[in-house]
Amino acid sequence: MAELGALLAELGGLVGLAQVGALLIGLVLGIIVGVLPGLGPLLGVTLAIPFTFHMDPVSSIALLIGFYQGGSYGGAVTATVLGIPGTPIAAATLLDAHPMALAGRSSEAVTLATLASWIGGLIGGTVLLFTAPALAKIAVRFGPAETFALAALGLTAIASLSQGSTLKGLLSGLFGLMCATIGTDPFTGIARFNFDRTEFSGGLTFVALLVGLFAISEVLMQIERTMRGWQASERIGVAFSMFRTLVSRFFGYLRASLVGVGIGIIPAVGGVTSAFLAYKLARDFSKEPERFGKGAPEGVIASEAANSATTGGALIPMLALGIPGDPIVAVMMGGLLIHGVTPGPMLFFTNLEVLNGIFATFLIGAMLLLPLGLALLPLFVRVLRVPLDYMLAGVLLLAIFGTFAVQRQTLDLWIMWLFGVVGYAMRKAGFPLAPLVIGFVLGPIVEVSLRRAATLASSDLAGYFLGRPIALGILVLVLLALAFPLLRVLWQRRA
Amino acid sequence: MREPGTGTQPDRERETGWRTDLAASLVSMGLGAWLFRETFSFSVTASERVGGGIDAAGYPRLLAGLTVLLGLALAGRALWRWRTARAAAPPAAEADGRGGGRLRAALSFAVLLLYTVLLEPLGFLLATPLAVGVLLRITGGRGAVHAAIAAVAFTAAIFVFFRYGVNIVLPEGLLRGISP
Repeated sequence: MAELGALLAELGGLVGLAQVGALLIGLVLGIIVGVLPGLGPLLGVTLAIPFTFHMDPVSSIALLIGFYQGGSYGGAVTATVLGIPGTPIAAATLLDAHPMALAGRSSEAVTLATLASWIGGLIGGTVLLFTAPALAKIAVRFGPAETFALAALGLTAIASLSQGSTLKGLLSGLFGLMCATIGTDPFTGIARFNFDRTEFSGGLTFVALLVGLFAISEVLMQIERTMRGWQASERIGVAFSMFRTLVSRFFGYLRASLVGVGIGIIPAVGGVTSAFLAYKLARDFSKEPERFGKGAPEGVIASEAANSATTGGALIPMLALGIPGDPIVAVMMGGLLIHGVTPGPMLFFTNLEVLNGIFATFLIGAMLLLPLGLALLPLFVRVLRVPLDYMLAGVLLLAIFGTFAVQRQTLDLWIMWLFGVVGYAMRKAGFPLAPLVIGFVLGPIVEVSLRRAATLASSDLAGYFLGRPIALGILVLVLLALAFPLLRVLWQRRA
Repeated sequence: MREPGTGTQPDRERETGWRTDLAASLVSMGLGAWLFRETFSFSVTASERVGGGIDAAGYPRLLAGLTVLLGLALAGRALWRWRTARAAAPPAAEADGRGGGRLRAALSFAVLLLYTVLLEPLGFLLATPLAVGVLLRITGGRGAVHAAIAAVAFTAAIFVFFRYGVNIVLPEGLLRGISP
């Protein structure tokens, strides 16, 4: 315990005022985008990326972590007050938080959600702090074959386990990999798919692709839907009596947090699953399971602690292996790459300052969530009164000028619009967007490691992989990830 | 429960129709074929052809080939679904009542493209209130005066944020030398 205290003090010393300021801004704005229905942490992190160009690496990741943690929590406020999840990960929270609100216990529900998010974030951060270095120690021995196999696993897992059909997920991931080949070849310097324009020699602008794909397509979808406003007139405050649950329901908090962090480590599974799984476990372990769905505080605790802990878990594969497990983490990884910081095992040896900064800001963010969430609760509820058309106009302007500000060229805006249309069409056709962005981020890693492995293998690539048991084992997991949807269908038919 | 791609929207959890899948497969195959052909225009010299064909051209060719193959598989699945759908009762026409919404989205997008064209020549301070005003009229059905006031307020807020908050000069256009 004393060692942990010393470690925290050391980590705290790495973070200055600028980084804490960026974290605070990220947390507050993250909660706001989480509260606003239709936005969410992914859009928040996406819109924040252009502004990180002008920051040092630790401040920029602090801002993004703030958005991630705040956005993951913010949806609980909307779930309680309006009965709709502000973000998908708050869907399980809704089941009991809204009935509590209907029974006049809004303040209790939101206070519980804040406490659970706080505990979940802290446990997730602690596991991240101890697990990521241990995993990196193993991963540092990996060669190009293992790196390729890991990247392939990250990509196929997200394509196979995420939204929609596996075929479409794989096509989306392939499209992302193809987009990553635009520009100059990393080995020979040959121009590829550059349309005879020198502007493309450095590849597609990550920010333009990202903002178009997620922000513009989302705004177009929102405009297309029937415009409606939200009404939140109820006054909400802090219910201090709920702090007692920290003792009386300690194991509930702990169990849900451990479920969350465990699920977070698995690529592509994410916060929604962890929240529902923790919720189910809480109900199964409860002496009064019939109260669940009717305003049971344990339900709120389980869902919120799990989805907050997932954020810590999701960072583990990104930091230790260089493999983003979900689209938000992929965007954050892109944010680090912009600063020349490559996540992966070598980060633990070459860039300790940034790495410890990430650990420190994550833990500080998790700690700040409680005071900030409770103190600014009335503001967050008031945000729900912002008319939807104003909100969309604000998002559009931030998207346009955030993208423009990166290189100050209009070409980036055209790329953004193009990917806005691509994202819109993909959503309409049932293609998941997450594999595309993960493919784009992982593209250079996949290409470089595969070509290195191919060079080392000479003419016998299959034999080379067969001679490397770890790479082979990971490739078996790739096959399992690909076969999973089929196995699931067969299992369901048999059942 | 599956992880959504973004935002709160259910992200097309429902199955799309076979026509949409067939169109998507044709687009995938077309894109893959075009990219496959393009890779032959890369000037890879003989000394750079290492790694058993997985070189500067071979790698994207591999990806393009896989795209065509998966596109074919998607087409096959779409046709299979067409056959099974034909055997079952004819489906009711998809009436999602979003015609107005689509028009609104298309109009908004057209305004945004026009705004991008006019941004450099007119400048941020002139083009933005016009675009935002029109957008608010389209998306929120605001009155002209209301939309104009809101548009000016949005423009001022964004200008102050970028110019004085993050020190980025936005396009000045016609107001070059005059704008703050």
